[in-house]
Order: sequence, then C-alpha cells, then structure tokens
Amino acid sequence: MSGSDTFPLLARVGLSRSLHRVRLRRWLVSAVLVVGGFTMLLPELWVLVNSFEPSRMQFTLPPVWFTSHLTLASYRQLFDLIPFLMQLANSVAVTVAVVVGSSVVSVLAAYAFARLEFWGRDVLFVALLSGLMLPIQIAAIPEFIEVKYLGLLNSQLSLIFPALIQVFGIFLLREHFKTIPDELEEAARLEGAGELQILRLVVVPLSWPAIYATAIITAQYIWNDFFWPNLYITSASRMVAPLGLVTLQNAYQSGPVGAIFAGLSILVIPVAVFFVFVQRQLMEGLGFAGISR
Amino acid sequence: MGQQGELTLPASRLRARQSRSSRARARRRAGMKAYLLVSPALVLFIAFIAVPVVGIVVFSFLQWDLLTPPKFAGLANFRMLFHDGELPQALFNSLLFDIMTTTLHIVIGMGLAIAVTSVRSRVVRYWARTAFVVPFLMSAGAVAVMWSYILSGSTGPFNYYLTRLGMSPPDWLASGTWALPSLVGVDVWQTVGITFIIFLVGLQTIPSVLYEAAAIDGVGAFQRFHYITLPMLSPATMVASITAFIGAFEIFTWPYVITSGGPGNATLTIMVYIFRVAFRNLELGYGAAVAIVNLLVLVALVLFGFALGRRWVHYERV
Repeated sequence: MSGSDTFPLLARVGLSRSLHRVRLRRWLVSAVLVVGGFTMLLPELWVLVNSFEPSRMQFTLPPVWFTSHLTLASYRQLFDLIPFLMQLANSVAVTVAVVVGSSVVSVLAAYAFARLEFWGRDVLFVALLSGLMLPIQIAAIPEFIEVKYLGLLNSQLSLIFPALIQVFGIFLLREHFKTIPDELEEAARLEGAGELQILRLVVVPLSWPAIYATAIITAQYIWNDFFWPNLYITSASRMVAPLGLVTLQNAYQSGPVGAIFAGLSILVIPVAVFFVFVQRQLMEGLGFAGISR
Repeated sequence: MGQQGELTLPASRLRARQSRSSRARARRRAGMKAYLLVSPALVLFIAFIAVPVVGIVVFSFLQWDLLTPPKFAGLANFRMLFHDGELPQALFNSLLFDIMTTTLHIVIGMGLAIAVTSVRSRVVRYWARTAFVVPFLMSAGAVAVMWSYILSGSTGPFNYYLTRLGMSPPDWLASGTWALPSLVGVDVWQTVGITFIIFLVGLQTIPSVLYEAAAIDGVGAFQRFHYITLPMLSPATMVASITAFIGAFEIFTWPYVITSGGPGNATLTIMVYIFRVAFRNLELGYGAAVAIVNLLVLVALVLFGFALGRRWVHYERV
C-alpha cells in the first residue's frame, strides 16, 4: 500500500524491528504471486507442449511437460479436419469490424449526447443506459428470428451488425467528452467549423485514450463471445475459431485431442500479440471501465 | 442578490455570458445535426436491443415451432411455467453458480490487488498483472474445451496431481455434486483478472495519508485492512460485484460446452435451459416465457444488491 510513502515514516518513528517483518512479508507475498501467476499459465503450457506430441500421447499419465518426440502431426490433422486458418481469419475479421464500426457509432452518438442540445436527449440517453444493465442473451429468441428474417443466419454479418451498438462505449465516451473544455469548441466554432469538423479536429484527438479503452473492451467482448456464433453460424468455413474447435470436439467421441490442442495453441498467438502491443492501454481501459461503470 | 450581481458584472463575466448565449444558439442550430449523429446508434439500439426485448413479451403469448406459422396461445405458456420441474432447478443452479463465482471473484480479486500493491518489485508486479489477465483474453469457447480435458477424471492432469498429493478427488465433471463448483473454478480462472484490475485501480485512489496516519498510530495490518482499505474500496467492490453478478447469472458457455447441463441437470443454468427449450425443443413461445422469468428474477436480485450496497458503500473521498 504505497510502500515508498510508508517506509521512511516507519523508519522515522523508529520501528526498525517491524521493518524487518514488513520486508519479510513482502518477500513472501512476492513468492506467492510469482508461483500463483505461474500456476495460472500452466493449463496453456500443458496444451502447448502436448500439441507437439504424437497423437493420443495427450492422454498419457503422468502428464508430459517436456516433449521428447516433437511432431507437427497434430497441426496437419487439424488443417485436414477443419478450415482452421479460415476460422481464425473470421475471428479476427469479425472482431476488427465490430471494433471499428462500433467505435464510429459510439463516438458520433457520445458527441451528440455530451456536447449538443436536442429535444429528448436525456430521455433517449436513459433509454440507452437501460441496455447497459441488460444481458442481451435473454432476448436471444426474438433476436434470432430477426436475424433470420434479415437473411443473415449463417453469415458473419449476423455477428457484426447486432454488436455495432455498444452502449457502455457510448456511456464511457460521453463521460470523457464532457470533460473537454468548452473554450476549444468555441474557438473552432468561431473559425466556422461544423459539428463533424469539431468532432474530428478537436474532440477525437483529445480523446484517444478513452477511445482505445472502449475499443479494447469491445474487442475482448467480441473475441470472447461464444453464445452468438454458436446460435447463428452452422457452416464450418464461416465459424469463428473457438466455435470451430468446440464443433470439432463434439463431432468425434472424445475428440481428436491432438488437433484440438494444436488449434488452442494457434488461438493463443493473436492474443499474445495483442497483449504485447496494448498491455498498458488494456490495463487503463479495464480499470477505466470498471471505475466508470 | 441576483440583481446586485447584474449591476456589478465584471467584463470577463459579461463576455462569458455572451458566449454562453451564442453557444446556446449554436446548439439549437445543431438540433438536426445532433439527431443525425445519434441516428446510427439509435437505429441499432431499436433494432437489436429494444425490439428483441419487447419481442420476448410478444413471443411469450405465441406457440411457435419455427416450422409452422406462429399461433396465439394466450396465457398457456405462463400456465406451463408452474408445472415445469426443470425451471426451478435451472434458476437455483444459476443462482448458486452466481453466488459462488461472485464471492470468489471479490475475495481473490481484492486479495491479489492488495498483494500486488504491497510488493515493491516492478518485475513481480508486471508478472502478476500479465499472468492473471492473459486467461481473460482467451476466448471462452476455447477455454471451455481446454478445461474439459484438464478436469477429465481418468486422463486429466488435474486429478493426476491431486492423487499424487494423496487426495482422492472426485470425477469433477461427472459428479452431480462437484460439476457446478468445477465450472465456478473455470470461470474464476478465466475472469478473475478483470476483478483484480478493477481493485488495483481502486487501490490507487486511496490516499497514502490514511496509511501513514495508521502507521503512526501503530495500527496492525488487519485493522488497516478493516478500517481503511475495505471502506475505501467499497465503491469498486460494488461495481465489481454487480458486473460479475449480472454476467454470471446468464452463464452459458461453461455448462453448454463442458457439461451440456449434466450430469442429470446438475449444471443446467437458466440460459442453457432457454437455449434448450427454444432451439432444441423448438418451443419458442415457452422459451420466451422462461426468458421473462429470468429477466424478472435478475432485476429483483440486482435491485436487492443495490439496496444492500446503499447500506455499506462508502462514497466519501479524502
């Protein structure tokens, strides 16, 4: 708890014995965190190692942690059984499309709600907010019928269109847009800028951290989702990757384990890349979302 | 008082007033444009949130199997609710899962955040943040598939190591008692990272003055937690609990993929039940009626949660 501040104070008060105890406790806590973190990653490590094992070796006990007969047979089997790279591309494409699309929708709406006055604004906003608390899966049955009549069943568009409305994104961005000083907007208005120009030249450049935060949360939500792809998509070449793996597991008794492990391992790659590039924004975004919600 | 103010308006205030009125005019002119800016969000909201939600109510009066045209069924679906033995089971399982997972989220998430904050090493902090958040970025479907192998009774590594440690573990996913708690474990493994981060950010907002004062008074670690950390974290706790609670009540992926609601109906949650009724048994109308029950129960629980929260959440800032 803000250790650097407590520390000199403790020393000044003359509690050097408890200082030792504090140091010891810190060491213990560090050790627990390091080991605990490692344990969290063990399942993925086991899957990764065993994806390079010959078929059926995944079921050997004791579990294999260091593979001695490295083989890509499982990967070959995976690509023979399902169009996995296509599914991975679908996953990425759907996520990117939703993130870009919903960001645009949210920025436009948040700007109007935060900085413009129009009839019915507050009522509309409260109506939108009600969608924040509602897990929309509850309304899956009517939404399924709607998507069916729109002709989007078994198309990736069924995963994109309904996800373009991200209510919390509008909410977070509105909160942020409200903090931008009026003077900047005034100045732009005096120069004769219209709403879209103010948005593009004043508001958006000042709001990138908030926009990134909402984009990252949306990306996680879409990437993580299993419910909607499972409901809408039936042909293998149009599935997102996790659904592809679940379907593969269900298609065979106990599943072609090696191939599934290979798929799981490949699926971690985009996540790892994403994490390396956006770790700081991710932490800020998650924290930001948590606090503002 | 207002009039006095009018008389002695300083130049700067006057300018501010003028600009405010010109802004008001500009904003009025922006009315039409404002609707244009809001319209994409509004159309999408109506199409994919408002209409489906109203749709549940409409559907609940229909008898519809997707193959033949829908028929008006009156209150038949609602009468059926009272004779449905699986519905209470599904609600009970959802609630049980929800209480277990929310509690664990709060306890582990808060514990981790306090632990990480108390550590001074940058490397350890970075490691903990990475290791506990990475599962959150994996996709739920993939997580479910992975854990179904790990928890497997005869061939899974989890039980192998428990046995080696001298325990005699149950066959987790095949046990009526242990299947639901196993899914709680999977859920906590994947998503405790988000709760951890929420608390981590919450802890950063606690002024260090409070801990310094406590240190001078010679306050122990437990009292420090009880009198400073816990009350100051209560808004973050409220946010994390409500978010986790709403999400967990509608849990679908774990019971659907890992246990298919079984063994028996031991992991049949309300969302899996709705899915089963509507899309496997093709009783869309009855599914909608169950969805209404789900919605009402959830709203009641959340309102109850807010009422509890109002009693002990501490909003004072130093």
